[in-house]
Amino acid sequence: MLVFVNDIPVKTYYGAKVKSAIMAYFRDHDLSPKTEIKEVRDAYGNLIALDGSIRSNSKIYIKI
Amino acid sequence: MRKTYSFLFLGLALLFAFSSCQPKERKLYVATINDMHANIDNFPKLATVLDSLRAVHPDLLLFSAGDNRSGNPINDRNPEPGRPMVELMNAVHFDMSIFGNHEWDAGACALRDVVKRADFPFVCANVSFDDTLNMDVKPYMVFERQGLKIGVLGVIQLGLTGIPDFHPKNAPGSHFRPAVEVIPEYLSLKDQCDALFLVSHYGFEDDVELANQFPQFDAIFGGHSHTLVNDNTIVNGVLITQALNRVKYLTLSTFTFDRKGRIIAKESHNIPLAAEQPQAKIKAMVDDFNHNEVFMKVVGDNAAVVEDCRQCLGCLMADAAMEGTGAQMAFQNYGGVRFDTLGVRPITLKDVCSLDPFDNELVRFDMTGQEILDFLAVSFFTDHGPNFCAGCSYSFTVDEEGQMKDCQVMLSNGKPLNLKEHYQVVMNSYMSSSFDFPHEDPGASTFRTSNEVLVEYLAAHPQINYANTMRVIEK
Repeated sequence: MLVFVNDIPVKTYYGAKVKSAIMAYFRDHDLSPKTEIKEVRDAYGNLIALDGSIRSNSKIYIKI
Repeated sequence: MRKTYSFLFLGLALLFAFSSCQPKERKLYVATINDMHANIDNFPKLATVLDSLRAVHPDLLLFSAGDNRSGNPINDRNPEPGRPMVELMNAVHFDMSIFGNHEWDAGACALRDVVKRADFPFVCANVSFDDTLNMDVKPYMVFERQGLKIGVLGVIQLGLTGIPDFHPKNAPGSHFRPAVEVIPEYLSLKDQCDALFLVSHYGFEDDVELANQFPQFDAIFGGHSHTLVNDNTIVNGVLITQALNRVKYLTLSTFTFDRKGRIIAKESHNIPLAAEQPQAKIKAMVDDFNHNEVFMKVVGDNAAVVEDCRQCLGCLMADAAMEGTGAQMAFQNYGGVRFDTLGVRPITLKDVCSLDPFDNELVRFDMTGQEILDFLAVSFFTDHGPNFCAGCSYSFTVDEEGQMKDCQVMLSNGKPLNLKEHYQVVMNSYMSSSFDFPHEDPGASTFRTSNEVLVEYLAAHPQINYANTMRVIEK
């Protein structure tokens, strides 16, 4: 499924958690999987946990 | 003139007498929590906050929006799965819980036992069960507080396959319908109640859509997406809440009713639990659950399961993943094998639970033989070591630049890998997300974790020995 991390489309598997989408974003941007994630929010500005569920077209905004 | 004053006085007196018979403005307090995922260690702090709230608001309602279990082996691997959580929820007096998708992780029979053990009802309108399960679940509840009737409907999310996000092997006996199809059947509750709430395990984005579609709800108390919904979030007139996950927050919602029982104000406030003092009685219960000898027991009596060998343990993990998901092949990444934490000794349940601290899910792909070859090469370079495998074995060379070359894969049936044929392959979510390998199939979660399948595998194969296992050979 397609999700958006910092407005960049990222392909991930169906049923992925927030963390898997961010890992895929790191992969696409040649960032280490160990990159520190300081904060994750949804499109509404709510804080979300790394193990939260996402759905197709979810928007995630991260601070690293 | 005097007569006019008398009438005026009489009128005011009657008005005062009449108004004093009417109930005054009333406030309803609802505490909600979601996705506790068996984090029993935070329950003593939760109990402290609930004690404080109930001291001021004795009529407080307390709801869980599901996923009470899955995330702590002390609860999930208890001989009676889920017992610690449900006993703690009883002790802090939950009024109701809905089901989350993880409630099915130990199967429908274990779920039935949890429901029976609970002193509070489980509510879910879009699930039904076979009679043989004897599951006591209600589609909705009506609570009475201060003369007000409060209707509460529960719903659970469904994935693309028409069941919630759990492994299909746990589905038999449970039947699901989409929430948007079921909710209209219960909207007449609005006419019978002073307030109508939806407790949803769909995730925040879906809750926003539900609020736009069903403004009849006064509030949606949500879960599933592990969102800390900002205080006082109101969408289309519907208050929406969610309290992150793992008992880190509790949300308190306040509803103000006028004299006629109409809601005139609603607000929500997230209460962090980290800084709270633990409540002694609940802490004693948690300590008792944590000192569980079951976790020191050797899993399946495997006295010689692994030698001091990364490959032995890696292949064991891959075998467990393949058997636990029904795939044709399974791969375990080199860096994800923490054999140094295990050493050469019998494996306890506690050891197994520490093998995958990230609790990675297993992801299934339909891959061609060529895609598998490319995947192995990419994994080798990215993870600084070869994947361990089940359902096959392989050999390779390494060139001067550290790239895998000349990879020859043999299947368990003795045949070579066919580059054009399709295979069902399983790997953990770290590999599927971090390794940049070409694959047509985007993949799908199996909704099983590597820990979960390993515990099952060891229990099912008590006499296995991986001491001389060599499936991956660098020439």
